[in-house]
Amino acid sequence: MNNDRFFSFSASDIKSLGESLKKKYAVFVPRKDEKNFLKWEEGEILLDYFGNTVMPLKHHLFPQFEKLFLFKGKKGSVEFSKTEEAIEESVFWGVRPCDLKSVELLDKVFLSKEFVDRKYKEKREKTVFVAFYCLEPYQTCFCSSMQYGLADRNVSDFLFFKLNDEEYLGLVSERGEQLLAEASLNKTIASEEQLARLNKMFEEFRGRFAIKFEMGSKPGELKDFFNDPYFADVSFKCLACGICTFVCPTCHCFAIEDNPDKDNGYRARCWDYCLSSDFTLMAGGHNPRAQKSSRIRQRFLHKGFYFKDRYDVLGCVGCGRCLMKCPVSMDICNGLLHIRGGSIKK
Amino acid sequence: MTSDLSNIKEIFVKEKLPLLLGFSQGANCYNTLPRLFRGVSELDGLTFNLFSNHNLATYVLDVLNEAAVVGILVKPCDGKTIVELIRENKIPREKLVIFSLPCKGIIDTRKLFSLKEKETEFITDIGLSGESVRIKFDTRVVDVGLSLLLENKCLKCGLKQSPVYDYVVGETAALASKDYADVQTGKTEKEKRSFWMKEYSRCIRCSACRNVCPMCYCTKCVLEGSPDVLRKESGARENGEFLMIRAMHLAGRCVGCGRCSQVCPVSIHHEGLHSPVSKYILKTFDFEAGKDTGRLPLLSEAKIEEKEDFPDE
Repeated sequence: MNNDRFFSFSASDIKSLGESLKKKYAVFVPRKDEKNFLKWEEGEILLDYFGNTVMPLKHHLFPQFEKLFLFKGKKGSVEFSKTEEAIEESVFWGVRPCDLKSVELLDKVFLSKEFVDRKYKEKREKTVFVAFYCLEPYQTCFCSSMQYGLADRNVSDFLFFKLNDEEYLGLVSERGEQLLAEASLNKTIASEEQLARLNKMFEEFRGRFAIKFEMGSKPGELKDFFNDPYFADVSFKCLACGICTFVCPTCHCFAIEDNPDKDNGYRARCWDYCLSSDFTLMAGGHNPRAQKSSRIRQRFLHKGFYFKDRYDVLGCVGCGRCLMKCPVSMDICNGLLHIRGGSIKK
Repeated sequence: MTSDLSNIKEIFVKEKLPLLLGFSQGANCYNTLPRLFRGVSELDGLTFNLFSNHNLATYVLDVLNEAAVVGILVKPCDGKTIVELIRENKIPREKLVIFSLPCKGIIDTRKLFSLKEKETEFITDIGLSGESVRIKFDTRVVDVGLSLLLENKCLKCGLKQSPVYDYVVGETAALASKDYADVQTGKTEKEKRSFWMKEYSRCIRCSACRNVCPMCYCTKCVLEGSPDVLRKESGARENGEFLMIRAMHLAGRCVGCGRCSQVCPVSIHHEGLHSPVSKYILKTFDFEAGKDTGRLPLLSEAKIEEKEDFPDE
């Protein structure tokens, strides 16, 4: 455990926090049988639940379909204007650490390297994340093998750890401290005894994973992967649908679409998926990745090589959604181990 | 639980097959994988069990680019798809060596997972003993009748073997015959609309339903890549258009293999889109996809005496 200060909360403290946030923000909670977080309208706020949402958190910060700007034709010229939607301040309550980590990775894509995505930034600043650390993994989870440890505090305002039905520990950000004050809640520093219990629960949690592997520290050379027959072998059964990409919390490729309607119109961006046969199709007909195997190669290398190269961290958070939802059981873990070396742990 | 497939190896050698489309064991006890076997030594990994839900016909067109003839393992439902692909002249019959599998039905993983006490429970082993399935979770064991776990389509299979085959590896369990008795019964327009708008709003436009479907073989789908036909926006209306137009394009061609429903990541009721179309076609044209009748594809023929009335419902 690192030096972060843990605070101690009761279940009713957390309920009060939820009620207080509801007064000021739109609060979204995970719902069973729905694909994503839905607005919390009535009933008690969740203090924990098993599992995770089908669709990841990126839906909110980077929507599947988003208008970028409007245009209007006038005699001989075009007039551009901003889209009108106002971004409301919202709380995502019940986020999991893997999805928190994914926000950290999306921040690198949309907020760094000289270009700041205005739309992402505004939503990001207006979103409060209240996370609950998992008690039990799915059979398909493998975040512990991705060696992320505690999710990054730069993303969550609250990260709660349930010790039992009454006792929770939590990490709180600066903004979180303000929100606690608004809810008239005091915070008590966690005791050594509580921290010891938390440590024990973590150890048990890490031992529970069905998928455990250890990645090597030295990836292969990029040039050797180009003709590597591994990708043709594993790509045969791939249906080249968009499931893995759309359920992945870190996938962020998008296409741009212009929608004219007589003299008016808008430009929008929408999620794209690299396995699509026309993902790299260009005007003129050239398609550098016409083969399905080269698209699989691109997908695995993006997660396991290019992302790390560019942003210094792997592009996969180990949430396991792709493993759970892929119709033909494609295995990203196997791909990561192939690219970076390493082995399955018994 | 795994079937005896030993004679397939002998036939693979005898027929000098370069390739065989079959199944191999996946990482979990409830996973089987589709696999292209490239030589007799690889056939040691061949398997077929209650989780071999893939319709291998979806790979045939691609695989035939590589070889003049290919072997393929089919359940009766998959075989029905092959009948349709042959009917539409997509595959010459002589390019396939078809093995009809001794299918006992396919377990619906959604039904299986609903037996978990909580979503995060692990399933560590599954075995079949007669008609009883024994499921081992990490801390308990459950016995369930097989028929309670099977896919809905399996309960109305009615086929002892694939309608088209070269070899029968074994006979199927051949459960009750297919009928449309429970399709489109007694809901008002308003109820139907409300139900479907809710289904459509969940769709994420991953197009897995289309990609897994062996009959959706268009290399360029009219519903993707042309914003003036259908936008990428995944609102309920656009999603509904995608799903309904796909159902229309499959009219008279869908055999009810159920793969679309199985692969959907948000559990949309695909069966409810395709079965009513098939029911209407059976009633109106006395035509059922998957039956090896030598007839032309439904929409390629027309008879003078056919009614032109539009349906009331």
